[in-house]
Amino acid sequence: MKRKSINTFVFSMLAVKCTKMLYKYRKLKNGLYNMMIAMFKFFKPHFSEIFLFLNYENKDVLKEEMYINDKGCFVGKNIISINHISKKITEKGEILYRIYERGKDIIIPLMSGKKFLGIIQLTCRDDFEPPKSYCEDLKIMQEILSQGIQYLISRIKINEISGILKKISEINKKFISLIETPNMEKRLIRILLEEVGFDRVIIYFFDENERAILYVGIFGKRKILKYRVSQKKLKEYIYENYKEIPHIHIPIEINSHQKGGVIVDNFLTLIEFTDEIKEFFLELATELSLLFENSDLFKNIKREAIFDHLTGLYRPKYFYDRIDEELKFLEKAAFIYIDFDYFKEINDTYGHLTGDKVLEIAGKIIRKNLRSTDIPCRLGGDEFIIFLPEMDRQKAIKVANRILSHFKNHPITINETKLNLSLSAGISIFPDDAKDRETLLALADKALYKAKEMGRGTIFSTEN
Amino acid sequence: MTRNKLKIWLVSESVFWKAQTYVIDYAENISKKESFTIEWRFIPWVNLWNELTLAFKAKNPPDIFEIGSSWISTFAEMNFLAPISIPLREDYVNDWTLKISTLNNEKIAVPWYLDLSILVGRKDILTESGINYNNFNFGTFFETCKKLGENYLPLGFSFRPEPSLLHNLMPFFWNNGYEFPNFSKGNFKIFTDRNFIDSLLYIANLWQNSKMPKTVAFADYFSIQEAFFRESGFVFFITHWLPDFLNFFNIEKTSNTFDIFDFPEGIAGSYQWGGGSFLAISSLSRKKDICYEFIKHFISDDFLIQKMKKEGKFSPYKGLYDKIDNPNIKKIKNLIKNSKTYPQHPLWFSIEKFLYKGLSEILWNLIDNPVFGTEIENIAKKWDKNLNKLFDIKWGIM
Repeated sequence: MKRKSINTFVFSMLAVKCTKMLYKYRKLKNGLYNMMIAMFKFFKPHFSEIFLFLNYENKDVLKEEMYINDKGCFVGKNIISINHISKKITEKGEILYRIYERGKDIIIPLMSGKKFLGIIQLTCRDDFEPPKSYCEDLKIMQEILSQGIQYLISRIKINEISGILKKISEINKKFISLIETPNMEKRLIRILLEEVGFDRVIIYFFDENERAILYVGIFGKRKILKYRVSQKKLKEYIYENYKEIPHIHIPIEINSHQKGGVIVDNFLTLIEFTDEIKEFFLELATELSLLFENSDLFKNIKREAIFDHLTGLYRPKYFYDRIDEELKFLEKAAFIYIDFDYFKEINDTYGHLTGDKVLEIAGKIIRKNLRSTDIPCRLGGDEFIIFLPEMDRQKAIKVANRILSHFKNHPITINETKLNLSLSAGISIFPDDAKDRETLLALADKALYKAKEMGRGTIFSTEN
Repeated sequence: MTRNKLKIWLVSESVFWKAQTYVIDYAENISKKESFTIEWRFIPWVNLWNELTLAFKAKNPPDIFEIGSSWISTFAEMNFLAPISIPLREDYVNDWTLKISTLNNEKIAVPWYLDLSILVGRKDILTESGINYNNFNFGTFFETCKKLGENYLPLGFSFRPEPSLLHNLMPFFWNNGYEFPNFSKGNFKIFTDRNFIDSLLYIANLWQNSKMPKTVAFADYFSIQEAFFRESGFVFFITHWLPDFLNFFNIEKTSNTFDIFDFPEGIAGSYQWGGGSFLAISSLSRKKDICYEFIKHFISDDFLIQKMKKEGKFSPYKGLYDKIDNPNIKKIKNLIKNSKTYPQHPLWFSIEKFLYKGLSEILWNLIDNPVFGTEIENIAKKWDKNLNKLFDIKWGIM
């Protein structure tokens, strides 16, 4: 039995109903689901499937948004190329009835003026033969639905933008947490690769030798590689070699000086960045510059909190905290308390500037005579304390001796004045002499005074 | 009971995905026997690269997907491809198939079907004009195109800057003895290589002497193809897709009108460009075992023979050809055997883009006067420089 046709008026009523649904259910999927379900309910006697393909990205492909059949309503996955669709549909907006080997269908193009928005494809049931006027009758429905879909596409755009803003805020939170992290640039590269999905992220910094240090990460690779190139070459590469490659380059400015930059590119895939991605990254760029500026500031503050500005050795607060931690895990360690003999005389005779210079040089000499694991600290004035992990008394005496001998054998020359300096040292040993930091320091201090009493320029350890 | 879901993305050039019914039917039959369902997605070639890379970057890629032969290195570089750790058939028709599907002795992609640049000619015109060559060399091909251009129809190809341009013209360069340089050494020459220039001049002269109208230079590849197969536009056509209407199983239908030729033989021989489609498993897939089972079925002769019949796609495996007694298919097998492919390099996508853009620009400037003068030399130098610049900034890429 052939099924009856439906006239123009009924089609336009259906279209109005569907379009209302798109407006009513502002959450996109609800709107689409309801529209498709309404259409399918209506068309069910004649059609076995309805597909909706949209061209909302205004590219040469259509994305299958949704389809519905007797089994249910499904989210579409496929993509079709516009090049393979008749120009009658994509350019003229003609409704087409097609008979092909697998069946029959009707294609309703959705148009906004000359702009092609997508298609609705209706698969005819085997026993349904649309009468000749059928496609003509669908025209009003086509017009109303096109308006509804135009609205939907603009909503999708708005949704995308709000999604981007949300992501920027999420990434920004991750950025902030990086300020205190060592290897910040490496962590930052990973975030940009994983969260935004660039092919490659390069962070570069200029050094004092007219060179640039590059940190480079590639999507999918764990290792961040480091390169060095001349600043001149790098600038040339950025402005010349990148011309054909989708990329965004932002300089990193700290205190209004360019210190480096970030380059993100799609070097391997050549996928052009969408306007949204460009906007997204430029928004992030401001945060990035701030991040580097804050990180720089943080590093300076941290440096000042940890290191004594004159000698470059650790400050007492940091020293005590480190020692307390270290003593929990070590089996043995030594403390060497050092100070200059008659340092006051240097200040009185040559002035404080010379005294400061002596301390600066002393810091370097002490550091030079230690292992990288040792922790030297300037306690104040001309007093120094050194913590030597995993060291026994005999070896600690040797270290102290080495430092004292250095000063004894190498007079310091400041402003053409040769200064023969003498130091005394006191030693205490963990856990032989005591087990807590305070007692060990007090014992080393006591030993130092003992050394001074013994005639200065000498070393005393609690045991001797 | 929840069944495992396998995400599969394949290429479809068809208007509607339902045209892939035979693939779906075949796969669904397998999945019924196993305990999983399939979520399909069909994507045209033109968008597959973007869709796949974006899916990987969004950490939501398919379990099994189809990729182009020249994409393998780039995808491997970005760690998209899982090593295939089970033995699969390796009865390949040619030797490069194995080479490009392995990296560091590990198989990372499975050959599925092959594409070729094939020279197709109008047999009726050739017969009518008394040209009796079974195969051509550079000289006889030139003379034939010249004669037919004056009396019948021109040769059909355009210079549009697109990958097809490179696929279609590459055999002329290879047959003339050109080989790609070692990209890792840097400061290389392609466009300014003497051999490459000679081949370019040959192509430009061929174009001019076969009386191709200038309007064809930037014509759409599909419209040239359509004009050729509708027997109205051209006498020869180079294609790397054998379209449905050149149905090689139906010898009666095609043998009177079209014929396949080896590419004109040059000093280095006669090769065609070969590429194709590979199946890969995502490095992020948690269902690799099911993927392996699935791929085994997809590369069986049972399935590949359907692919050949329905889509004109050619199997990379010898086994299938022994089962078909058809002279055209045998000819295709020989062409596959005698094909060359591009070098594998993670930057190939960019290199390829520069190559076809450069080729297009040079050929466009050679149309009116096929002489390698200063102007052409400067364009060639520019493109060589562009290619080398790419390697100056290859930081992070092995």
